[in-house]
Amino acid sequence: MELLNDTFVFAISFIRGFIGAILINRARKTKLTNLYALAITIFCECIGYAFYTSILNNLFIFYLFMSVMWVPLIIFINKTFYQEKKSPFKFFLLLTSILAIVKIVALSLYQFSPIQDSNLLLLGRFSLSIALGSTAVWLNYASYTSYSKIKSDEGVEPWIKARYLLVFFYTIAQMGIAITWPFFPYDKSINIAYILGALSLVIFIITQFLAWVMPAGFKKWLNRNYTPSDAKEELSEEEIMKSFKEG
Amino acid sequence: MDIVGFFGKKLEEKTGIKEIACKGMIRLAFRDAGIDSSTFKIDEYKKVFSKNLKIRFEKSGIDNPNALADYMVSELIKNQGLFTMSA
Repeated sequence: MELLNDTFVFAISFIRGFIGAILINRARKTKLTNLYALAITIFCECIGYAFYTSILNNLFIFYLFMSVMWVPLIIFINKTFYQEKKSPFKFFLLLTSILAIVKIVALSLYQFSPIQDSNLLLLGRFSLSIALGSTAVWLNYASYTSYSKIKSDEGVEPWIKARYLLVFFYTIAQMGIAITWPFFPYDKSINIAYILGALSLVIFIITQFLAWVMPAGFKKWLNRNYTPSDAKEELSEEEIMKSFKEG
Repeated sequence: MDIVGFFGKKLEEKTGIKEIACKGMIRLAFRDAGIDSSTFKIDEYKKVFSKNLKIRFEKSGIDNPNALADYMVSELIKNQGLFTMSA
């Protein structure tokens, strides 16, 4: 069972590392700094998950990465959807910072002191769940409200609309992970919460992969019924100014 | 994704001027600013819309150039997610 869990977690970790690398490359090409923030979040998860296996088994490091990853994520959400708009950024920054401190303190006490109280572990788990769930709700809301503004715009290619929806769906899966996580068995055995959580995680990874990696074949398939604007020709400067003069 | 085309369409909806001219107007404003119109940076778009595009509107003699430039900036803020989602 441990081998199955390790294989599953390492696979998840590897895919996340791949998504992060794709995002770094895209951020470099487009100079979109918010994509660096998202990539950092994903790399934190990638490293954190690896320490949740029996090979690297270290709960403190796992929780450390799972504590710091929220700051770049909320920076990503804020920079992507809320520039020069009213934003709950400060609220989320405060919330995730408090939760990070709670997680680190609880896990430090659990791992490095004689207090091996499982309630400390539970506190760490609930803190992680709240951070996971609340940021998922924010990204879910931001992506859907943004999507609703362009969904009927024929000029926006279907693959872009699909990316908004994929973000919307993967944040729902993220909420599923957040709900089930506190109820995972401590000994890494399997219970119903683990099965539902693992299922949510698989859906999360697949939809997040499709959203941010967006393989060429998938993009082409999404755009199969799309006809780009045929207005390829360009007017001269005089013609443009004349069009505006005539109104 | 042709982001200039997207905002050209918005300008067409607002003014009733043909899309091809609206897109051309935005491209001219980018050229005036010395910024590549294929940029994904929202702050560069904002600079172009609030300054160079407004100057172009004024030069063209179209009614309410300030209001039109403000409208383009507000559409930019409203649709800012598009820059990341189309990257």
